[in-house]
Amino acid sequence: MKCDDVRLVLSAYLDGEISEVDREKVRLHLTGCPDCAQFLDELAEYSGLLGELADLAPSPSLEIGLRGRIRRRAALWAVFTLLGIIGVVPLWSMLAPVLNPALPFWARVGFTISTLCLASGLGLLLAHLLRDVRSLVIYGYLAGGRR
Amino acid sequence: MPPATATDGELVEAFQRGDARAFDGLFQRYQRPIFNYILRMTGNPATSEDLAQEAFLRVFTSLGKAGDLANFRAWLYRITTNVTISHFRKKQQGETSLEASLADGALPELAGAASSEPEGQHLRREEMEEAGIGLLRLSELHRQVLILRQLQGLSYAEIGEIMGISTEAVTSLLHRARLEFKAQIEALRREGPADGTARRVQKR
Repeated sequence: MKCDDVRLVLSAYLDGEISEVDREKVRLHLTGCPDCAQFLDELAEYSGLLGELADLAPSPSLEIGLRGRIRRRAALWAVFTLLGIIGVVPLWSMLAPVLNPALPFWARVGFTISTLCLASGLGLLLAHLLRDVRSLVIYGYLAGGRR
Repeated sequence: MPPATATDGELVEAFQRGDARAFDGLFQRYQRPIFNYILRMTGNPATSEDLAQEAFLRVFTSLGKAGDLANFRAWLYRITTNVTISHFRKKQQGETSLEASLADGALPELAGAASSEPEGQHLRREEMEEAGIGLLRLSELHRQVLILRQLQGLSYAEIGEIMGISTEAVTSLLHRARLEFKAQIEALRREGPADGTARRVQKR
């Protein structure tokens, strides 16, 4: 293996993220090439500096702040859900053409289908929102009292 | 509520089935590594806490719809990376300026972590701060790949999954990152401790 090729994979060699075959080729090259061997030593030395960096513990305010955000999100979605429920009310007025005997049969069928579509669409959206609000509330409020 | 020894997959499944408290297990498990990942990217503890909260909030609100997650950890790190990159873009800076981080009182807090060490370990303490500064001087991509590999201990395959690149691309990116890091450390050492120390002492 040539020096240029070896140096490109020296990082992978250092990390053990190299195939057995390639690792053997690199190892053989290194035994006979002091320049590349030194390059590897320097690579290891500088990379080692990163290993010395402190791993810090987050303050308790991270968790407290997160719960606050989740609670606020729950409140916001609860408001949207409420608005959605209120939005169902105008659906009632769509029943008028359905129940109107003066309209032709097919028109009434058409209005019935579109009303049902809108109702099921809204219903699915509300069910989805309610499930998310429930998750948010459970985590935001009930779990919060533990610590 | 699932036991603390449950795997990521089990906790995700429990959460998706409606057990919101399963999220707690995941949060406790990843709170510290995610915080440190962001911290080494931004250099600012206060900002990092904020961004970590944002990342976990996104996890909470979208985990239910995430479907069959093969690797929760990679997904979590991807979200965290997006949150951090958005933050950098919002700051209207191409790269996070080292001076801005210092002005926010960032690095002295990191230096504070080592301040309780005895005199005999002075040189090691200096090396720790130096490495942190060196990291912040790198381009975002190089900084990210070095943190994920050296500090978070992730495999090339997982890093590739997080960054959306092939394992080969990770290898060459990491190699270039290490070379840039070495260059930055050498430059730092040439600059000498005077300037940096003076700033750090001032902020205390």
